[in-house]
Amino acid sequence: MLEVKNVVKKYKNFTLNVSMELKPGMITGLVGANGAGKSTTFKIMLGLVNPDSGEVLINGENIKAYKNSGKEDIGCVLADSFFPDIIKVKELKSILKASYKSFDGEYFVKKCEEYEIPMDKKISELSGGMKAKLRVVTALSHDSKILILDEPTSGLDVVSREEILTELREYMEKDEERSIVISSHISSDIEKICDDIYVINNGEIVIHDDTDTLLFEYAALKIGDEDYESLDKQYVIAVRKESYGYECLTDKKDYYLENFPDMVIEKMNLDELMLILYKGEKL
Amino acid sequence: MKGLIIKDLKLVFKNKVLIVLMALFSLLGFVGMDSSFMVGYFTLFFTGLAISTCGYDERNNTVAYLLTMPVSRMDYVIEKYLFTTGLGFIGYALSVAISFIGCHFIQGDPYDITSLSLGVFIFLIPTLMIPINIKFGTTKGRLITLAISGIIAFIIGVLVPPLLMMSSVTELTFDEEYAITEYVVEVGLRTYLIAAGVLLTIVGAYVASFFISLNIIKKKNY
Repeated sequence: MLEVKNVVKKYKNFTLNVSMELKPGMITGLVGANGAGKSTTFKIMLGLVNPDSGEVLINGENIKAYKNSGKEDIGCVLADSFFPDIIKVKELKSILKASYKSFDGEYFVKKCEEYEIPMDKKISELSGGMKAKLRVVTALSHDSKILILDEPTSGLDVVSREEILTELREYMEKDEERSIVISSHISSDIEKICDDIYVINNGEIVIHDDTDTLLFEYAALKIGDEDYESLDKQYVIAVRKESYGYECLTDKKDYYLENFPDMVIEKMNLDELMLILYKGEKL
Repeated sequence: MKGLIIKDLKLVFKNKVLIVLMALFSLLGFVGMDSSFMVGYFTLFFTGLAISTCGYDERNNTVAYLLTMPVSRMDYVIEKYLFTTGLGFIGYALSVAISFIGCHFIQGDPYDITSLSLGVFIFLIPTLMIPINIKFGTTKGRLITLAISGIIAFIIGVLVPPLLMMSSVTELTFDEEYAITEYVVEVGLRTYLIAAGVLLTIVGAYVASFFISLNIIKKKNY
């Protein structure tokens, strides 16, 4: 559905080098630290940043050649970009109506009422949470096939985040061909909603796997200095030095459980996994 | 495109204080303000108001969001030129109408037809401002516009006097009747030729500016 093929974008002190694939019916997550390259990747997907090499294909068509009619199929939330904040919500509705053939004004108004977003207020007068919800409602208010969401839950409390995640699940349920690519600093959101996850570090995809595999097959091996030397490292992805010895990230938890029954092996969440990747050394 | 125009119209109508100020100037136009000032001021004000939408787009990085919608980079540029020129024309037409009514019907004076030439601002402002705003943004763009305006003013100051000299045929004698006729024809012809040349240059610059803006936005990363 959406493919980022060997895309390279070079900046003065940073190089982005990514390949990703978004499949129909799937929610794909992109996680990484600040400055890892998430937003740039999203902007390349949307044709906002021109890559030095590589290409972005949507249904086999290069994003550069994508026509306006094709853009009807894309809904997006950008972390640093939206309509001028002096525009009122009701004015935004009329702009969207004039821009998208498939704009659903009833849905827009209904969702604004549901989230208590006043139609008469300027965007600048809304609270951070309301703004975030308005961005998501805007992305969902036309008949899109792909949602590209950069930090859509940023600045929201736990209740509001859950509401947004429910919106996204409902969006997916309407059509099996739909798909979402989403980034978030809140790993638990990504874990809850995504089918597969890409982890990006310093502009490169360092891990890509199904969410279930990441959460149940990946683990932290905690071992002392002496044991580390003799450790079978064929399934160790990254190592982080700790006060007690080493914390090793593996994607084959069962292998170590079976072969090293005395070893301390801990299940981990996405945050812990990323900490080893970022603070440690990749093998 | 329609969505972009609606967005820019909504932005322009936010400047309520400025619109009230305009109404005030309109009144002054009726009671005796110089028609050249009226036409120049109105045309500049309206084109400036249209250009100010670039600032709003930039402040919230709105261009990036717009380009994710069914809006191409070319659509964005076309809309900016159309909107600025269109709004400029409205300002021009309004000011001509107001100053003409004020002059002709209220003051009873003949209308100064040379003030109509100030309509060049309709094309000059977008020609200069749109590529600069797209390339450098409004803050940096303002400084660059100031510098370029200075350069243009200098060029005009140096180039225009010889052109004006060319249009006046002072060396001709008025002793005989045929010479007077020749003088009038010569001056008229030269004036029209210069006016046509200026007009062509402005239209050419306007078209070139459009393609420069298009080239800039195509290469720009948002």
